Amino acid sequence: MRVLKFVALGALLAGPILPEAFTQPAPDAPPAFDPANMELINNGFSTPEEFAEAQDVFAEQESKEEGLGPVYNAQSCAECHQNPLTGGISQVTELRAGHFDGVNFVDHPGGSLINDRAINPAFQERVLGGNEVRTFRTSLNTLGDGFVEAIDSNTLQSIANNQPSSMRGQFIQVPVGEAGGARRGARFGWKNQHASLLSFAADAYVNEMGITSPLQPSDNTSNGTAITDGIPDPEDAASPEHPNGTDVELFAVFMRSTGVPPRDTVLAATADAQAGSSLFNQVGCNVCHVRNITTAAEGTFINGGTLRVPAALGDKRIHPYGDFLLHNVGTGDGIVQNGGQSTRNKVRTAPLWGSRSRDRLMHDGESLTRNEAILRHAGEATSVINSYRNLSNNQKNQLITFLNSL
Amino acid sequence: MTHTRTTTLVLAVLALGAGAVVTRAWMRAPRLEQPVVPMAAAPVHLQAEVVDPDFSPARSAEARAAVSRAFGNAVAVVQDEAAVGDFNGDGSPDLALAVRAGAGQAAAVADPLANWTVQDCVSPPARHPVAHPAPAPIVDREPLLAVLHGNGSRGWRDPEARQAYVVRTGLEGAWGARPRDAYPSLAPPPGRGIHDVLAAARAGGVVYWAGGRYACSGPARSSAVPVAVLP
Repeated sequence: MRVLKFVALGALLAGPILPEAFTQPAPDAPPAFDPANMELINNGFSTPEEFAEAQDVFAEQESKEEGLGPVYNAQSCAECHQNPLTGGISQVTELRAGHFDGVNFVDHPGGSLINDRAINPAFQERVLGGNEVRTFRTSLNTLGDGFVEAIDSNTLQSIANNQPSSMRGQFIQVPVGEAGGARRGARFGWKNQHASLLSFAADAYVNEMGITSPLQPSDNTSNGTAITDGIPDPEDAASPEHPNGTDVELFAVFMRSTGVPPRDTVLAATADAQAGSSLFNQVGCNVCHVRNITTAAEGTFINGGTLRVPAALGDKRIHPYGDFLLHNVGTGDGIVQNGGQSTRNKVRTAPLWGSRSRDRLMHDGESLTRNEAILRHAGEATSVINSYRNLSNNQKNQLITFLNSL
Repeated sequence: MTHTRTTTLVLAVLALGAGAVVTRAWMRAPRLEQPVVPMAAAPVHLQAEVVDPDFSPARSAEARAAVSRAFGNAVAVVQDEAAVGDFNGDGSPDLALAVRAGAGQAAAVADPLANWTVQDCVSPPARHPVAHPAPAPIVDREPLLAVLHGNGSRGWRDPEARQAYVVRTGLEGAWGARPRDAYPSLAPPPGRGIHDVLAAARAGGVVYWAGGRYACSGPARSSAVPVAVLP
C-alpha cells in the first residue's frame, strides 16, 4: 500500500512534466512571399478573402474627398511600404525637426513631423528657423510585423537584461490606443513609438496621410496653425464591425497576416555567407541584431487584453536580427517621441530581416554601402565595430555577403 | 500481491494521464501578457554619455599615435597642428589634422572596405554620370584631412576611438576648430546640437558634419583646381 502511494504520488508529480518534455521547439514563422512567384503569402491570421481585401485597402490611393490631408506625406500605405511587395520598405523618407535647448529636445511647432505635402499650398509645412535639429527617417518594413506584435513584452525586457551593461538596450513602454492607454513594451517605429499594430496604423493614417480615425480623431496642424480639409472627423469612422475605423483595422489585418521577410536561400547556402554568419556572432553584431525570438504562446492576450494571439502568430520562432530596443550607436536623430529625453539620440535597432531589399541604409538612408553603414555605428556599438575593423577584407566581404542574404 | 501491483500500475498511469491533461489544459488556457517588472536597465540609460570631456590641445606625439591607431600606415601626418573639437556633435572630443596618403598607399586609403569612410569634396560622386567625369582617384601623397571621432569622455584619446573619416579637400595646410555658429550660412547638422567645424588655416575652406557624413563649404567644396600632388 505504501509503495502504491509513492508510485501514485510520483506519477502525479511527473504528469505535469510530460507535456513539456514532449513539446516541440517553436516552428519558424512562414515567409512573406515565395521568391519563385513573388506573391504575398497569408500566414493564416485571416481568410484568403480578408487578406485580399486588407491588401487592397493597404495599397489603396486616398483622395481629398476621402479625407487626405490637409497635410500629408503619401496617398497610400503602399507608397512607403512596397518593396519588393506591398508591406515591404521603400526609399521614401520623412522629415522631422525640432530644437535642442541644451537640456531638452523641444518639438517643432505642430510636432516634430514636417509633412512634405498638403492639399493646399497655404497649408504647406516648412521647417521654421530656430529648429536646428533635423533628420530624415526611412520608411520601415511591415512584413512579419504581426509576429513582432506577438512577442511578449517580457521577452523584450529579458533581451535587454541579458545584454552587457555598456550595450544594454532601452526598453520603453507606450500606451496602446485601443486598450484605453494601457502600456506595453514598444517595438514599432524608429523611436519605438508603438506597441500595437492598430495604434501604429491609426498613427500612420493621420500623420502620413492625414486621415483621422477613432484612435486619432484630430487632423494635423500646419506648423502649429489649425487647418481643415473640410471632411468631418473621424474620416475613417467607427462602425459596429470596425470600432477603430474600417481602414485602420484592415491595415492591421494586412500586417498581421503577412509572413516574415524570407532570406535569399541560394546566397545563404554559400560558404561565404555561412562564414559571414559565424563572423556576425563572433564580432558581436548579434548582441543587438538578435537572431532568434519566439512569440508569445497561442491564446495569450496582448495589447492590454484586446488581442488574443492566434495559432497563426503564437509560438513561432522569428529571425528579425533586431532586438526592438533603443540604442545610442552614435547616429541618433536628436528627436524625442515616446521614450523621454534619455532617448533623444537613440534609435531602435534596425531589424536586418529583409534588408537585402534596401539600398539606403541607417535611419536616415545616408549610408550607401554596407561597410559605411557598419562604420557609422559608434557609441554603444564601439567595441563591436572595432572587432569588425580587426577583420581581414576577406572576412568583411564574407560578413557583408551574409548581410546581403537577409 | 499481483492484484496490488496491477492496481498500483493502473493508478500510476491514470495519475500520469490526469497530470498531463491538467497541465496541457493549463498551458493552453488563455492568459494575459504579464506586466513588465520595473526596468533594471534604467540607471544605465540615465547616465550621461560624456562627463567632463577633455578638449585640451593635442600633443604631437599623441595625435600621431591616434592617427596610426585609426589609419595604420595608410596616411602620414604632415602637420603637427591638430584641431580638437566636437565636430560631430556628440559631446565627445574629436581630432582632425592634415595628412597625406602614404607613399604607395593611395589604393589602401580608397579601399571600399577600409576602416574609415572617404568623403570627397574635390570630385564628389557625379549626380549625372554622363555630364560629369568620373572622380579623380586618390593619389599617393595627396593632401587629405583626417578626422578621428572621440569615444566617451576621453574622446579621441580613448584607445577605443577608431571611427575615422578621410576628407579630400584639395587644400594644403593646417586645419583649426571653430564654433559652428560662427558660420551661420552652413546648414544645421541633422539630429545634433551646435558644435564645431573645421576651418582651413589658409584657403578659407570649411569642413562640417552633415549628419552621416562630412561636407565642405567654401573653396574646398567649389574648387575646380586639380588635387595638388606634393613632391
